[in-house]
Amino acid sequence: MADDIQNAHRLQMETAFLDARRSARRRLILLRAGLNLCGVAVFLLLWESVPLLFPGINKVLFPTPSVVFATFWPMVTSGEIPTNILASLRRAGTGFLIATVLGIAAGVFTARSRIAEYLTEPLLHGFRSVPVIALVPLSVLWFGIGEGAKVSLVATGAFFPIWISTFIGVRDVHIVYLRSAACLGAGRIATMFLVVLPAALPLILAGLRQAMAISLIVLVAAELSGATSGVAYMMSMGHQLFRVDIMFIGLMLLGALGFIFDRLFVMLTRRLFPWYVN
Amino acid sequence: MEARLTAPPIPAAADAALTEDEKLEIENRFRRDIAAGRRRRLRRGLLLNLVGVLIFLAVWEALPRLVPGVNTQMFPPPSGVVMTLVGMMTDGSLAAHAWSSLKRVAAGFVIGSTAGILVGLLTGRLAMAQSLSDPVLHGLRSIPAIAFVPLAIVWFGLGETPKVALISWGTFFPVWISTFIGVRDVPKLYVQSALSLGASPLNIMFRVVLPAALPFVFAGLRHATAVAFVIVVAAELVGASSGLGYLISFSHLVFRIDMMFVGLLALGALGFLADAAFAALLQRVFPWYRSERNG
Repeated sequence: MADDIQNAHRLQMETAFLDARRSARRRLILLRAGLNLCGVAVFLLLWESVPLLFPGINKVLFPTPSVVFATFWPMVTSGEIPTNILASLRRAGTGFLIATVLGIAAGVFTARSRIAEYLTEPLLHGFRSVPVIALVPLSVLWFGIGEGAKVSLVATGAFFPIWISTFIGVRDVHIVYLRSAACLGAGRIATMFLVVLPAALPLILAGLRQAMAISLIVLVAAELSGATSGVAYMMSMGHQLFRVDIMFIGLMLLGALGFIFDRLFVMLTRRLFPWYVN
Repeated sequence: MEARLTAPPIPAAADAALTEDEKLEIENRFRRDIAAGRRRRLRRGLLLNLVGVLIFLAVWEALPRLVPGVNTQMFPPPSGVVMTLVGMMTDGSLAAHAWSSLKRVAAGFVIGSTAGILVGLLTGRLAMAQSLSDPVLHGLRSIPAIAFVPLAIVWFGLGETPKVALISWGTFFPVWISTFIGVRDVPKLYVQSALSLGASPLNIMFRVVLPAALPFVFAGLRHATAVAFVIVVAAELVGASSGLGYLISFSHLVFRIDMMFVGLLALGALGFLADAAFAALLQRVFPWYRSERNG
């Protein structure tokens, strides 16, 4: 009897404690979200009030958020922004896919074969240290300003991080894994696909994520120099027409695209490979 | 090799019979063999490295000659590029371009990384500052710095200011992010120990938190040097009158692809040297941060 009462009392205390902790955590999350919102609001307010604070400022050169939004909405409804986004995404996506296939293949090959590693190491590292953006003028001379030139630039830029991280991942596969696989009679191909690649996957994914960010950067550089569509083309048009508001829209779109795709990638990897929590 | 394989195994009892000198001799021979093997592998690796580069250069040199119809003006062989390179090195124009690029990189890097470290310390230590600034900073970070080039020209014109501003902007984010992570993840025990020993907030910041976060800060700085070299090119491709990026865009205009290659080579070499110098300096100044060496 007394035991029962004691147990009930303990249970009550436990739930009360858990409740308190949960509500404290909820409060913390709410507080943080509130502060986040505050930060954005303060930033926008400051930006909006710059012309009021500095009366001499040129509003064309420094458009306020309200002006930018007023330009933004008609461009969305007229379909100008969606078409440009699609054009940019198609280029970045194609280049990224090509780089993924080539980068992983090259990484696996150079890491698994000593001779290939030594033969290609100085060359690949040499090419890697040349900024891809500096290749834009060369690519314009060689391949013109068509789609192929842009896609190949993106692929070039995205290739190196994927190669490097695949190489490191495959090279550093624990030797015990390889020996165990060999003892169990795995062939070269089975070892590759069932042992080496899964073991190297976290690093490959990290490389892919970095390559995605680089694809966007290279895409911008490629589109700024000679294109007829795309988000960065829109920006360079804005530059030539002295429409700083359009340039701001381009910047925001690029930021949003980079952010969204990075998040999507992280979500996808969490979904597909829940055991790689990093 | 063969002789050692066929040598009779040393009986277990013989081990005890060996004198100290003989044991030492066996040990030394073993060490020598290992060292020789390592040296041999290293030599072979270097040789293969060299062969790879030579094959690449040979193919590049031979291609315009073997494949008819290739315009050597558009696809200059290495010998032509080297000749241009030597010419530009002797008349000093390459050094002048490299110097003006380096100056911009250095100025932007110092400004951007100082701001990055300060903001990283602030946001890493104060949860309030972090929550307030997080969405804005992350939002700005996801915009490629190159996309700011046209805007920088509209705002700051064509002088040095837009270039230095762009580089500072680009180097700020990696330094900020990694400083922030380093400061946030400083073990609580360090801070608590310092507090119980009576350290003031400033003391904690500069004598406990900053040194503990230093490896992260350096990783960010190293990443930032690479970023700086990318952005300086982007900034110089449009509206500059000196610098390696200008050299490339100028040779683009006058159809001198050999000069473009020289510019690319110089850029790659500068980027590589800067990174290597950074790593070497780090190891020199802070030899206890071993993990940084291969970072």
